[in-house]
Amino acid sequence: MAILLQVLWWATLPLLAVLLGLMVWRRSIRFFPWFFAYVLYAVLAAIVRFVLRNHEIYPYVYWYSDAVYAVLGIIVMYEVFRRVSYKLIRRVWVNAIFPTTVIGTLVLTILRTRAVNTNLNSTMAWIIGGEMCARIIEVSMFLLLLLFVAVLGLRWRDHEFGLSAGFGIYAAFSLLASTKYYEIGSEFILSWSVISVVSYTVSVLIWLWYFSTSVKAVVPSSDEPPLSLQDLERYRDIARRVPRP
Amino acid sequence: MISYVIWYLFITAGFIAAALAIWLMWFRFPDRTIDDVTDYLLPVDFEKAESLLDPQTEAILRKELSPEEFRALQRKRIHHYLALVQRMAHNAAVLIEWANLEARTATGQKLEMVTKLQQVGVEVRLYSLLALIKLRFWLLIRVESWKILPAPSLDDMRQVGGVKGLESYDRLKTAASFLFIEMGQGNFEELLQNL
Repeated sequence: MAILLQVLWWATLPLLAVLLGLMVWRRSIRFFPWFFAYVLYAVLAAIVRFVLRNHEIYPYVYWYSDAVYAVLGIIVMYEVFRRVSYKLIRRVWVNAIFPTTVIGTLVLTILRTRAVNTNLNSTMAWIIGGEMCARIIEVSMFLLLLLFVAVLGLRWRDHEFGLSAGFGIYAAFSLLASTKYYEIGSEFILSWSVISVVSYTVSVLIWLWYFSTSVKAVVPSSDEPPLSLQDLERYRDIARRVPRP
Repeated sequence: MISYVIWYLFITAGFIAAALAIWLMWFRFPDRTIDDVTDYLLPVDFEKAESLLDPQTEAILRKELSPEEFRALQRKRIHHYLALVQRMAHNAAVLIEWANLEARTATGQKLEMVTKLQQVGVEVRLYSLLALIKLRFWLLIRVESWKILPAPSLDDMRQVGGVKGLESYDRLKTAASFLFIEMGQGNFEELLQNL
């Protein structure tokens, strides 16, 4: 079990390196610069963790690098949200959705973490709390984008959905694990590792599948007045005059 | 306690969303081509929708009928408009699916038309979603029966969430017809009839 876990733990490193290569090859960087930064950071952090895995400072490296993951994850979610809202709904009130989600999540996380007596030290408690906050935002964005797919016709094959699905699935499992870890403490560490590693591997595979295709640029819509029925009549007359084979 | 419940609701929602995503992918309509459009549309009686939202018609009804009769009729009119909005939402979804497929290969002028159809389709879907929520809420709380408040006016449904419903739907019909013609389809009269 321990060996399998170790294999799974480090297997994401080559997968992430492939993802990085795919993003460069498919020129996806210009569409998702923050996600690229996230993947690049993930690769570098994984290398550092691998090198220091038997060193005494490893726990510090692990947790502090995880805190940066959480921050970058939130930024990537904002990047996804901006692209989707630009593509689908360009209305002023839509811009309020993301900040509202972040503020709501912060309040919820503070309430939740303060309600639990944990055996973690304060720095660890803050890092785990911050991670849980990021996970809630990721789950929220996944739910929102799923709503966009079901209701507004966002394509499930779109990279934005793939990104949020990867983050959302990992976040749901990781949130459960972090919550239990926060509540139970270090006794939960093995289960926490298994759940986190497996769900993260699944997420990376999802991202790999999505980024194996090129990102299509969003065509900016013109601000000219909408098509009218008079336009249609004119177009119909022209079409009638065109001889068809 | 509340934060505990909300917290675990989020976790549960994450798992349900993952299952739902798989469900949506599995049961989705296969790539919708131009041949899979007209037969799948549900005709919307546009004039009927206009008359339901017409403030003058409503004012006459209010004047001619007793308050009880008007409230009873208004509930039926809400149901009628709800049925029309559901059809509008369905048609917009069909057209968005078609536009999404065309967007993969379209270039130049055709791509512009496809994009326009996608955007107007999303507008109609947004309007439909918000309008359905509002109409169902009216039906849920039986707002037409509250004697201390005036019966709801369907004229309020003209614009929901900043989207003018019937105007957007009109633009959707036009955008779909443009793309139909652009793709060399002669039967766009059928398309207009079914929209």
